[in-house]
Amino acid sequence: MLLAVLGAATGWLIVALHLPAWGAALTTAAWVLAIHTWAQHRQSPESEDSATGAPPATAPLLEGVVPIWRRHIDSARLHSEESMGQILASFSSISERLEEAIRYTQGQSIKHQAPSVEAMLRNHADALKAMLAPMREMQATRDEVLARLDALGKDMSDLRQSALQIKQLSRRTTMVALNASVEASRAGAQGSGFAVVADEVQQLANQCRQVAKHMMARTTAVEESVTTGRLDNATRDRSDDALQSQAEAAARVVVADLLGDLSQLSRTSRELQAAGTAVQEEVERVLMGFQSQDRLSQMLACVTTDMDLMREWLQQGSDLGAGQIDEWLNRLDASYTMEEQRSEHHGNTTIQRETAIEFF
Amino acid sequence: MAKTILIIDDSGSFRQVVKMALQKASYDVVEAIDGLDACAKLDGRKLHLIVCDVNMPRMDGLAFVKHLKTTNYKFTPVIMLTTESQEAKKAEGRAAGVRAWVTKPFQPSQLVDAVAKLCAA
Repeated sequence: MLLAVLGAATGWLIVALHLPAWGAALTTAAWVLAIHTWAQHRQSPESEDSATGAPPATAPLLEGVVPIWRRHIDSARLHSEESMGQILASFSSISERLEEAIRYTQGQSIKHQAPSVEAMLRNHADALKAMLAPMREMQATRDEVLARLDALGKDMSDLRQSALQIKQLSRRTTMVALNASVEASRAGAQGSGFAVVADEVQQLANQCRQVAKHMMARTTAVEESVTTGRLDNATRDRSDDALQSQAEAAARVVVADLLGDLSQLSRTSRELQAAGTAVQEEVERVLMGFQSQDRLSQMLACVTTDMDLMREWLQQGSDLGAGQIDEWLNRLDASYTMEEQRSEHHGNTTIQRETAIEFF
Repeated sequence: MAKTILIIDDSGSFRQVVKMALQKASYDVVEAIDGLDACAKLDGRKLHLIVCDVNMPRMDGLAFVKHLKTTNYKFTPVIMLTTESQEAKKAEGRAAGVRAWVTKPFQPSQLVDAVAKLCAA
């Protein structure tokens, strides 16, 4: 009989060592079963020890084995607590990191709906104007240069007219010098000095004509350069509106691309946040599941305390009467703190695990 | 400024679970491993609430609460967070000045609600 009890209890103990959460309850049940069975064995008329009235022959065995059970249970509890603590620390760390990551992504995400391209351009109209300002300044400078080129072209035209007049004057001067030479020839020896003067005037008129010709060539070249320059600028000329339209169109493309990228980034960020939140909730559920460790420890503590009491009783060498056995079981029942322990003690299966908060 | 909660429990893993729940709700947490250790934490620091287990070595939760009522912290509200569900123990706690009794296992949100309610009172 005792061997059957020991076998049952040891079997439960093995389960307790491998499945801590359920094992604690099973160990409690096994211990109560062992006490019940032992009590029945003690009360049985066929019991050899009871019949002789001598101290139970199995007492030394129990005295030896109960402390071993106790040490095994303590060891299992310590291992369980250590491993639970390590797992808990790891999950806590994961949970903290997740919370930190989610907080960070929430801070970085776009919290509102992305604006339209038009709205964004309106919002940033001042920035766009500032961007166009240097272009407008360049355009004004170019217009000023063109105005000066116009003035220069007019001056060149006047200068060419003057050169033309000089050329005409030199032609007339040449005619005058030629007539003077003719008249000097008619005057004979008296007109020889006059002929020299007429010749000099002729040379001066020729030189003037050359200078006028050169001036006309140069002014014509400058006029052509100015005209070409003005024509080139005219072909490149664009109005402010056209320039602004082009800049806005370019900005629109850039902004649309940026908004597209931001929108994608925002979607990705929201998906990451949702995934992170879901994982964190799971981790928290796991952490809450670790509350079983506390219940486990208390269940095992009750069993080990009772084992200590049994060992003391065995060492005393006294026997228990039927009333004392009930007293023992009642005391064990009263030592429980949890409904689960009481349920296991009495073989009930209903365990209330809902949180109960009472305010006083 | 965050409110400070003293957690007293001999189970390190359980303290960790409670600590996480309260810290997530933006409370500061001070830990003690039993009643005697908690007595050493009553050193003048500001405590807005105490969450205490019942069954602990050296000094149990109810003995600690009785001691608390003789100190400058006698008006600090106490929540007992325990597997203990015996009415006699609850009555003893009520008589000692405990403000709420939470039976394990608990839902973190319920504990946080209870803490917020008693801190605001």
